[in-house]
Amino acid sequence: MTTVIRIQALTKRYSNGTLALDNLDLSVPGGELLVILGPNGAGKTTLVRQITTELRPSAGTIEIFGIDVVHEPQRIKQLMGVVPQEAGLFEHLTVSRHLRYFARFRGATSEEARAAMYCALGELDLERFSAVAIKDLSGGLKRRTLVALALIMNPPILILDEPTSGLDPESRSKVWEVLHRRKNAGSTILITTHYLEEAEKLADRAAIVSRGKLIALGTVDELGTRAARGPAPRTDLTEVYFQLVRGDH
Amino acid sequence: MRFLREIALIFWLYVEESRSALGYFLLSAVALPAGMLLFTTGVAEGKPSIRLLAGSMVFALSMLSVVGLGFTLLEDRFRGRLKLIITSPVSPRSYLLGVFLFALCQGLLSAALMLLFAAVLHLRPHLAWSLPLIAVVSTIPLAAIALMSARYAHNIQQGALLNDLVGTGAVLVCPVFYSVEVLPAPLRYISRVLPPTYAADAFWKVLSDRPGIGFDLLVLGLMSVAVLLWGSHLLPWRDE
Repeated sequence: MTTVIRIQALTKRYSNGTLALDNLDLSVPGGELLVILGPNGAGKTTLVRQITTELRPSAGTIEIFGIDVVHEPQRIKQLMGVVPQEAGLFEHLTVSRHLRYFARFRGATSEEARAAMYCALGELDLERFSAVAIKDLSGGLKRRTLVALALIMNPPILILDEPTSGLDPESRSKVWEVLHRRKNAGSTILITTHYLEEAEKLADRAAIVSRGKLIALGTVDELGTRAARGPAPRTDLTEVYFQLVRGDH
Repeated sequence: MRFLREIALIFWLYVEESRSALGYFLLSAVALPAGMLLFTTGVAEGKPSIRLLAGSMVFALSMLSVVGLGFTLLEDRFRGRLKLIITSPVSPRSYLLGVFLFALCQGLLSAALMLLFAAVLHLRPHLAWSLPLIAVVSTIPLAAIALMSARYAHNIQQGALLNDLVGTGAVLVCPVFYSVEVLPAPLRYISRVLPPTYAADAFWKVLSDRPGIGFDLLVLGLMSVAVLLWGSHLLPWRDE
């Protein structure tokens, strides 16, 4: 399968000297849903922000469909729907107006934007809230709106930084359903999460990042086998995760 | 074509977002510069003049472009809205021009309202088509000040204070309400590099039907071109 995201020797050292990512290599084939796990401060968001062109790498390369993200950020953004970790919305704008503006930013005509808006509203169960201003929405609904903005106009790649953080179980399962559907339609998806259950439910492969390094990569079963020390392979991701992360520390 | 469409979309996005504050905006667009005109007229022993009117118009532009736009840019950066725009395919230059256009429209409206208010003080300024042009080339360099404070502030409070300080301070240390000879020598030099100096001079000349705005327009025009060419590099579009 064609590699859609290719990361080579990626290193990020911040101006205060912190080494957030250390020589990380990662490839994501087309149509895969890759979940990135890791403790707080492991480098997950630093990795995502470099892929989404928000942060300049100190060294190494990131290519998406063979396009370098540092040199051609605008082309990359056209291919990508992003849920940044701490993004804010326009408080006085309604959900539907957000969707229409962001569809137009992706090059849609007014009519296309309207159609895409209805589609995204339906996908995230936001129809009832379409005319509600963001300031009147709960935190969970704001997060769902951010996910809808990333999905609008069906970009081939989705990069979601903790998309379900703060969502109730029902909303979380709705987002999972949407991501499954998008993956089945051929989208390449990369998400970060702290919910191991989410990784188990969604991931084709999971990557565990700790202290800026990729310490494990594989399917949930492969990770279990790798972490196992006894004769029987462990398949429970929670156990595997703690073993790998603690082992790294 | 896409570039122009993005500018228009960003402009309308901010218009829609600000619509709920329209009443407050109109009030401040009139009250702040009109208050300044009344205050300076009072200091001038109750004699309103075209110079004071020109100064109040520059004050209106400065308040709306440095303080108003500055706060918008700070909110974008510190409340995460910029992140949302950065991760969409909008180019930094489109964003910059869209928000500048938004500030410009506010400034133009406020300055125009001052011309109406002048009638209350029985001032009869000379009106000319060059007035909007002066407003445009004055607002762009002023907006750059807002851009810089949004770029370098460490938090929203610090940036807002900086904007207030620069937005009002730049008008007060420049020969806006008085002639340059009144200023102490160091301020004369500082005022030469600040846009309100040239904006006030150009407004005063046009409103009092005097010739010679060419030099002021040239300086403001060059400042504007510089801002439009390099301003997008000041945006925190990609962190280092």
